[in-house]
Amino acid sequence: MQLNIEDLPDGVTKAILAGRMDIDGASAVDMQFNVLAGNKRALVVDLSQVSFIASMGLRTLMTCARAISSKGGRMALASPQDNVRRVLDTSGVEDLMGVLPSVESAVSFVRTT
Amino acid sequence: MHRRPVRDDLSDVSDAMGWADAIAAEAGLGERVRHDLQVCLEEALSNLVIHAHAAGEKDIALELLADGGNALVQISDRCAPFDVATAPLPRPDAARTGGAGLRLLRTFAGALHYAREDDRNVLRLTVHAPAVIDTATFKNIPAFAEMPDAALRQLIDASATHVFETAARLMTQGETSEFCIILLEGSVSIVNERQSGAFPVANVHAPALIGEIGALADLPRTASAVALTPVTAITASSAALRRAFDNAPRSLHGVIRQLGQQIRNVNTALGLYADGLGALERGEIDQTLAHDLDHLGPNLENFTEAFRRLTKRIEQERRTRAEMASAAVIQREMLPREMGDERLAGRCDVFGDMTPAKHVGGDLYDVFMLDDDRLALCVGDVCGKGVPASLFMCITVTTLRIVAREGLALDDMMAKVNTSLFAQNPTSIFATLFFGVVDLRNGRLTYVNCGHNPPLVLHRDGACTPLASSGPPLAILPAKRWPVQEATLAPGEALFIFSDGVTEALDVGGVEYGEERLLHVLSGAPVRDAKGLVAAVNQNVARFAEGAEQADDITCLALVLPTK
Repeated sequence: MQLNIEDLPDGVTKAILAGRMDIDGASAVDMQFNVLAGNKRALVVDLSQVSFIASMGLRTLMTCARAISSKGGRMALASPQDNVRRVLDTSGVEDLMGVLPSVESAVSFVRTT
Repeated sequence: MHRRPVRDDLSDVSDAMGWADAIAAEAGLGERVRHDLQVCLEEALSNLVIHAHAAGEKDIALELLADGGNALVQISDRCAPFDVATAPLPRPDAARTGGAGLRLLRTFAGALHYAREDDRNVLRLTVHAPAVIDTATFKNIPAFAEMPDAALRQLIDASATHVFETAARLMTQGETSEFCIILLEGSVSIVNERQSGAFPVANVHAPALIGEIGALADLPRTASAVALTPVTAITASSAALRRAFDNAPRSLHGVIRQLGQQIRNVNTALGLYADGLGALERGEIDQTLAHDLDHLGPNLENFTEAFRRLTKRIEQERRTRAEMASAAVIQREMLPREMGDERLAGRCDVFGDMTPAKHVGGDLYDVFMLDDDRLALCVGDVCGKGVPASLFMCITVTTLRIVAREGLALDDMMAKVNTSLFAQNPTSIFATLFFGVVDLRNGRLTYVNCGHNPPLVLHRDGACTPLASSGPPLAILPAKRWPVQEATLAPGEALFIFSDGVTEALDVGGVEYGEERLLHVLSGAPVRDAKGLVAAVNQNVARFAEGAEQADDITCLALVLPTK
């Protein structure tokens, strides 16, 4: 599991996740997400290279989204693969963060803060 | 069947998931089944490791069987009982992250069954190979009639396949609508759950879409759905459903058309119910209404069926009520009305009356001659209401009449009655009873009191003396004896026996009638006829309790001895 962080204009941060966000994957990036949660107000997580996510990975993302929204910021997930999107659809994460088909739409979603 | 223990730590859960996936791949399960199996295992197992408590070892065991393209899983453990299949789901919101995993498990497992077996939680789940669905079938469902194939295919791919057994619940009234269900095979009953019971409003047969309005509009479920036959269905999350309509907004016309038809049906049905209820109230379903019910057309078939069931229920209830009424009549007939015995003439005046509460009650009284000179009087109160209490009351009256004629001493007699009632008492009903015998030659009263409120002796000067109570009620203890007590009634004195329905009558404000009011009426009454005494008390209680519902039977029995 890899996490690369890129700063975009207007204070937006893009985090690119790659790999399986399973138990091991989630624990590998958990700390980095805690840091993002503490520092960022507009975060886009690019999921296009994530092949798997389930409850442990969701927990990491939801904890981060909750922290960001409690500061008045916004977080969005971008371009999930089909299996991952089915998991996101079911889990109810959309109450906490945006789920958008592309990085561009996710960026404009978090920028309208 | 493959089996593997799982240690109580997340790294072994991770290994177990890898183990399961290798077996799934080996068995040739499809990519999607393998994925969904991983989702289910991660949730179920990590939940046990992180959240479950166990007194000793958790002793988690994982079993896996690949069969016909499906994955069958059993997870068992020795943790505290927790039913993941039906535990309530918290709403995901800013305050908490819980519940997401349970949602995943319930959606990605096409069948989920929990049981507590001995000291183990046993969770059985199946991940089904995706149903092979021809989009053409969906064109018969109005909401999908105008949806392009591509959008429909996308919706189907985003959905999970579920199999429900007969009587399984597909949706629960009041829950948030997080998904809609597309029935592929089988029938479900849509039930409106009311305080008075579940009321079926419609039967729906595959292919059909249910729960879509709630899922689209984010409304709580207005009804529950229960499988009438085994059901195969796909469930689409509200997110997937909304996306499908976002991509093909024109197909919403179909949804609106279906909704419009439903509103029309409801309006027509309301009219029908109004007519029907009117007819039921008059106790007649006339020819025209019967004809209307039979010729409503296919759209209203469901309402016709629901109405028939409602009619049947009302008629059943009416019959029950009629049975209750006849029980009350029979019970009333058990009690003596006029004491026409010529042996009483000129020697005493006796009168009893019972005013039953709303339904059949449990009060009893009786008056009969034991021989030429001795008059038996009793008043009792069977605890409880309704048919069981009234049956017990009838048994008590009959037993008393039979045993009293055996000529036993009063205490032996009551012990025998008690033994007999105790033996015929499967539901542990009990009765309070005052039983007295007056010797009309000398006014001597012998009595036993089995937990009944003390009767009153009315003296000629208007003063009242209660007769001391003694002992527990009848039919509670086997082989119980009550002491015989004595008193003497002087000429012109009266005995007033009553049930607690008199003193515990409530007025509209919830205030009890009480003993003081009773004493006041009795001492103020122009003695001395029995019927007059009973009427005075009954009228006073009725005036006091006017407007309040009578909660208990009211029984009075008066005996007046003539002034010599």
